[in-house]
Amino acid sequence: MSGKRFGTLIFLGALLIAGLFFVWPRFAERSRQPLKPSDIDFARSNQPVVMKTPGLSTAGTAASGGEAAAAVSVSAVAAPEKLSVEDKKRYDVFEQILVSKNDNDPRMDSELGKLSPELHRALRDRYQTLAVENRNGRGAIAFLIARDLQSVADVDFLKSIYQESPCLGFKNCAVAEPQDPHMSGIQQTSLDYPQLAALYQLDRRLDADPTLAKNPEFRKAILDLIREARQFPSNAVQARAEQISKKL
Amino acid sequence: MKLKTLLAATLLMCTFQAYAVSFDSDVPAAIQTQMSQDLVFMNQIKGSNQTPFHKDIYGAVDGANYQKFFETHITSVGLDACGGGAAVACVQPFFDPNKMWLTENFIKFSHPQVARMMVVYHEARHAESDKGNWGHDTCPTPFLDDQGHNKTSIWTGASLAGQPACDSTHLGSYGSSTIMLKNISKFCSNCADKVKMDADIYATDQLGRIDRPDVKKAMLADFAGR
Repeated sequence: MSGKRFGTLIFLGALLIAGLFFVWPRFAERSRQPLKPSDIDFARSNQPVVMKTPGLSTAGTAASGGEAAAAVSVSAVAAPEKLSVEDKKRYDVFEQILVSKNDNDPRMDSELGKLSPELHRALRDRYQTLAVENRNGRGAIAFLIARDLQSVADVDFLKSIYQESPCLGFKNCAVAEPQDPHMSGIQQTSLDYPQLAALYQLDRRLDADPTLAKNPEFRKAILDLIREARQFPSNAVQARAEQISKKL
Repeated sequence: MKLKTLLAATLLMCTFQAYAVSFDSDVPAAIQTQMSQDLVFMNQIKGSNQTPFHKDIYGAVDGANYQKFFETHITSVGLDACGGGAAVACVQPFFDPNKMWLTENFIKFSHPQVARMMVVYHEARHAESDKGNWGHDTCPTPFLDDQGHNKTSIWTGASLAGQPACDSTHLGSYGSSTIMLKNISKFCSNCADKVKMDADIYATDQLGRIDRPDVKKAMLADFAGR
C-alpha cells in the first residue's frame, strides 16, 4: 500500500469517526424522547411504527394544532377615549381578564356586575373586534351584557349573535373540523358558547325580573331575539330558546 | 408595583409547586402554565354543600378534594395529538393509565376554563384501571335528545348512535364530571357567576351522554336534592 493510499484511508476513517460523533448525540436524543400514544400503531400489535422527531406528533386525522392552528391569542386593547375614568378602569379590568383566561377572576362580579350604558356600548363594540374564533371572549361579553340587561339596544345586540353564521371549527369558524364523538359535546358547546351564554343569562334575568318581559318595548325585542335563537342551527341553542319562549 | 408583581408571581409559583404532577420536557411552557393555572383554579374552589353522588365520588365541594382526586389519578403530563381533530386532552389507559396527554389545542382553542377542566377530570377518571378505566357504553340506536332529535354533530353530520361515547352509570367519566360541574354550579361559594354558568351549561350537555333513563333520572334527583 502506497503512502498516499494509506493517508487517504486514515483520512476517511477519521471522517467516519467524526461523523459518528456528530450524528450519535442526535440519535441518542431522539431515543430518549418518551414514547407517545401516537407513536404506537395499536391496530398492528402495539409495536412502535415510527419514532417521530421531537415535538408535536401529527398522527391521526387532521392534525390538531401544529402547522395550521393559530392560537386564539388576544391582546388587550386600550379603553375607548370617550369613556369616563371610572369606565376606562373597568374596561381595562375586562381586557386583563380576557388576556389572562382566568374566568374565575373575582373582578368579573365585583367590577363588572353593574355597568354604565357607555360601557355597555364599548363592550358591544369590543365583541365585534374580537376574532370570531375567540368563543370564550365573545361569550364573556354576551354574558356581561345579558346579565346586566339595560336597554333595547342590549337585546338587539344579543339578537345579532343569533344572526351570525354558526362557528364550525376552532381553527377557522368557516371550516368544519372533524369531531371525535368522545368529546364532541364539549366541542360543540364551546363553538356555540356565545349563543348559549346569552340565552342562559337572559333566562336568569327574566326569572329574577318578570316585569322586564311586560315592558312592551323590551317584550317585542326579546321575542325577536328568541325567534332568531330558535332558528340558530344548534339543537342546544334551539332547546334553550324554546324553554325561554314558554315563559313569555 | 414591581414588588407586588414579584410577590404575586412567587405565590403563583408556590401554588404551582403544590401540584405533584410532572410535565414532560417537550410540553410547551405555555401549555404547562395554562394547565397549572387551571388546576390552581380547581384547587381553590370552596363549596357550601354537595349532593350525595358528589360526596361518593369526590367528597365535599372543595379544592383540596379535587386536587387529591387529580393527583391520585394522574402523575405526569405529556404532549400528544390524542388522535387528532379538536381533542384537547386524553388518557390512554393501555399505554399508561396515570399519564395525561395534552394537545396544543389546550391553549390554541378558545374554551372556557370550566370546559378545559371538565375534559381533564373526565380523562382522569379513565385512569382507574381497577374499574376497567370506566370504559364507555355504546350509545343506543337511535340516540335521541330530549326534543326527539337524533344526536349528531350538526356540522359533520356524524351520529353518536352506535359510538362508544355514552355512559350507563353515573360513576363513569361522563357521569362523574357532570356531577362535579353541577355541584360547582350549585354550591361553589367562591366562583364567579360566569364559572357557575359555564359549569351548568357544560354539565347539561354532558348529562345527555347518560343513556339509561333511570340513571339520568337519579342524577337529576341528586342535583335537585330529592
